[in-house]
Amino acid sequence: MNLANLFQGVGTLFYQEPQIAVARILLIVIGILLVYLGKRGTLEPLIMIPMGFGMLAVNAGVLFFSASKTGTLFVDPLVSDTDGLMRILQIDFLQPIYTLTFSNSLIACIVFMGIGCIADVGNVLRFPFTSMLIALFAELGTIATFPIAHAMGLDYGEAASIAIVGSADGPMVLFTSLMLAPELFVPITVIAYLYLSLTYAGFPFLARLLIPKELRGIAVKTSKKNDITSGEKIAFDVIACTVLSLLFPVAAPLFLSFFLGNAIKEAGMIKYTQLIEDVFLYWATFFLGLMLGVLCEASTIMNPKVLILLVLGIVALTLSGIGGIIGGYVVYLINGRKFNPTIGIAGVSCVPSTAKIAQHEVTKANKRAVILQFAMGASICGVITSAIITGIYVSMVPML
Amino acid sequence: MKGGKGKAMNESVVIALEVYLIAFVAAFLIAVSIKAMQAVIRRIAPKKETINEGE
Repeated sequence: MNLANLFQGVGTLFYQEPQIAVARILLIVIGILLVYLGKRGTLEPLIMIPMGFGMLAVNAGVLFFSASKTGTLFVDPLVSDTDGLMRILQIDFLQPIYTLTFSNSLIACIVFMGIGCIADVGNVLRFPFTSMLIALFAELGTIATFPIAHAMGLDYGEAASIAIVGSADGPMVLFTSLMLAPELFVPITVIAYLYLSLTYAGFPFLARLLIPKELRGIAVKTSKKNDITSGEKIAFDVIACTVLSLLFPVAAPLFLSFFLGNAIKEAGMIKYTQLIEDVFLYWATFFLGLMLGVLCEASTIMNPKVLILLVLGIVALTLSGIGGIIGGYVVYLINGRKFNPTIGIAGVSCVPSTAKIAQHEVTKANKRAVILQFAMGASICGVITSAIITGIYVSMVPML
Repeated sequence: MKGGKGKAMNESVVIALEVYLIAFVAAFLIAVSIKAMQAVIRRIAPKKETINEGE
């Protein structure tokens, strides 16, 4: 009896090239680590636990398809001919999810719809110019990383895809990389979600480093006059969706998803809101994490560009955080030093994490200072500016 | 070669700046639309709406 054929997960380790075998074992360990860190709360558990399980299972469950070919029964992202696709849809259990929701960005759009459903655009409507300005400064990473990535050997599509990590918006990164760098979308998206989970840990230090305590403690007066009605919010959703879709039709699915989700909430359609928030969003988040894990097969990850992407991802996020703080300082100076520059960090659109980080740092400096309203406005504008920049990259890069 | 690399770098910097400029213009357009929309709505419907959450 050939034990290697009986216990094929182990047998394939000895059959494959040593680098692939070592990478498989490493990815199994990383998968276990992601589950542990997700359980501890160090990384976002909603994504990391399914991703960790997917990663360890796909790298452990490798079998012999023939005497010379190995593979898994999870998903085959490379199959493209119709007959091959129809066959594999009936064999690989996650193939239908990948083909019908992942590779066409549907899952990214559903997550974005859920974000629209939980976002409150009222804060954007109260202070549109301030919020937009901060959000634009917070896009520094998505802009500055592009030439850096290109100088490090990535082509324009890959450079744009990794630069979008600076937007701190997972669905945007997935959407952009599927459109512009499909061969690298797995490592780019996995890196993005890993780093986004770490922003909670890193951004507070950035705020403390760049903003002195007396400025962090500035209390910002809010005017109670401008009450925003639900009609205004829906009108904003309609106008913004129309204008942005006209300008950047390639990203129209993203604009539709976000503004429709928000409009449904503002229209008071409770059943739809519950459906999107409680069912769609969690369903999409679960399968997003699981699919990303399952796509982390050793042969996919063993790409020499992955190391470059690891460096560029953190560069993009750091530059965005710095840019946001610069934006906060600009508004501080424009407003006669009566604005809290810490709000700038909320322009990096990891909703609502960065807004909470900003409020937390402000409270530590001054317990009476409440800036959450401004911070949420900047955060939501960050989502909008990220979508704008995604639309520009996706429209412009193919023409270069 | 160095000239070629430098030229490619300049090109990508120019592209990045173009993207940023377009983003600024689009975001400014959205902010202006918000103000215009609010002015129109407050002229048409000056009363405050209450949201009826229903069942």
